[in-house]
Amino acid sequence: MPDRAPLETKIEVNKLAVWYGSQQALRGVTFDVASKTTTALIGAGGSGKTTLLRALNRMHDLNPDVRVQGSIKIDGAEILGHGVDTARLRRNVGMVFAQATMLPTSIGDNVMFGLAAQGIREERAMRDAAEKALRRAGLWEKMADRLDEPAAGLSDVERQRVCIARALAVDPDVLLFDDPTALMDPIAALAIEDVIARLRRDHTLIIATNDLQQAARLADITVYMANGEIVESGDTPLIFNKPGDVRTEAFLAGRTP
Amino acid sequence: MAIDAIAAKGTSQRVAPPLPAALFGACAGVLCVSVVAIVGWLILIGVPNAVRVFNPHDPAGVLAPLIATAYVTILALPPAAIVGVFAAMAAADVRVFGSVARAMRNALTLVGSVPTVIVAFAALLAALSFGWHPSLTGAALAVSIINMPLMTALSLGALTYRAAAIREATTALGASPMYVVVRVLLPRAYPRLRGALILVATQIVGAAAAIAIVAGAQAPGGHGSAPIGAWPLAVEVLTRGSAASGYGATAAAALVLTILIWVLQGVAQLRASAESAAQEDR
Repeated sequence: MPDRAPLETKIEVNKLAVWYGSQQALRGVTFDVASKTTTALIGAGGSGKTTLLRALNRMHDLNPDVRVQGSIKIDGAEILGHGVDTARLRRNVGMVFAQATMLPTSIGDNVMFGLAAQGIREERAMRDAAEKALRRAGLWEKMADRLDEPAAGLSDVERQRVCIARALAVDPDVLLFDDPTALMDPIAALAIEDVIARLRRDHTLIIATNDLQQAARLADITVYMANGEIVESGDTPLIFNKPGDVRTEAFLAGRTP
Repeated sequence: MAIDAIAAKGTSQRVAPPLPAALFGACAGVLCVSVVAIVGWLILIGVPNAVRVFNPHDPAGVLAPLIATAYVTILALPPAAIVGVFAAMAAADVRVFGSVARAMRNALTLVGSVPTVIVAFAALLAALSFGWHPSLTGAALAVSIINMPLMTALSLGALTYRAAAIREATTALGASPMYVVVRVLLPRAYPRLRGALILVATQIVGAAAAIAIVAGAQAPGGHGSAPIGAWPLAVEVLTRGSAASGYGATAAAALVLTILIWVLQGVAQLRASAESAAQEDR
């Protein structure tokens, strides 16, 4: 791995703990994410990957039974606690889910939804942003003449690309991917990976994935989680080739740690 | 041979145990026989009197009660719908009104369980304490109040039907909770809300009798202050039923009421299933 210049820290997570009711899902998680890097969160089901991801843009606020403690700073500003503009936070920290949920409206309106929710009403500005986002998601050539068609008719991979375009349209700095190819066949998954790979230069990406090969292909940094804790994190080639913890080694080898 | 064995095993696993199957079958049979018997009886006794009840000059006629039914429905439905839909919007996302929404969800269960006659009696007392004359209009207000929890529950169901993923997706795009409820969940719920409105109208038309009688009990002239001078059809069926001389006409009126409610429920169910099919496609 060639030496890299020190990168600016984008996200600082410190002693983060999350409870679903009385059940603790994250236990004192501490880690930093450098700007414009791609981080993969790997670990068995229930290890806390999605819980950690959802804490980064306060999606846990949707569930009144979830309690979050600790500190998360993005660009040095604390995002937990009262007084944070969560709508603005989520525009800055976008999220793409495993299930590509289309709003029951047109393809264009889906892509422009975040802009409309911001209060932007100028048709031209919205169309321009939608075009830019669809181009970056590799869909513009296919969708340019279909923006007024219902989004319901799209294939799975097109839906997920529209979801990525929808997240990109509001111009986020950080993009969180929660197992974005979990429900896809390998060819469709590779198509989505291509889109993600193209975004790496311009955004800070964090991907929770159960696909170890995907993590190895996409991520600069890999974080292995187990039982709500970070076991080990580091440069992806190092984690995959020379894991420093026996639990990581066992997980990568497909053995029970 | 092996395949035959597997198929035989699979078949035997699908057959329900005989005792519960017999019990369920008997219950279904009792239900079907009861409904058929009641409707059959209504048809048998009511149809020969159908000409009589549609005669506007006959005191046993249903036209004036039908107009009174429409009067009560028109007065009772809008307040129930407005309060129900807005209360449901507040309760649809706990983040919009925080603890108020949570309290509202709990209150909904409690209020919905209060016997209807008690609400009607409370409405009567309230009307009297304000010095108002109990009337058909007052009864309509009581009918409206008693249907508000139902309208709220149905509206809440319409707003939150398979909405978790949509709420998540739109929230992640920076939409505020109120924006999600008003601009996304509400338009999506319109077809189901229309179905809910028809179902509440069915309740008002069919189950308003006891409430209307209690809340409008002391109305001047016995028929309240409605311009029509008649009770709603459900009340007429209830009151005429006790008069032995009018059984035939009552059966005819009951038949008309039953058909009216079936038509309303049929429309509501057709709308709901059409919308479900459309949403499955989406």
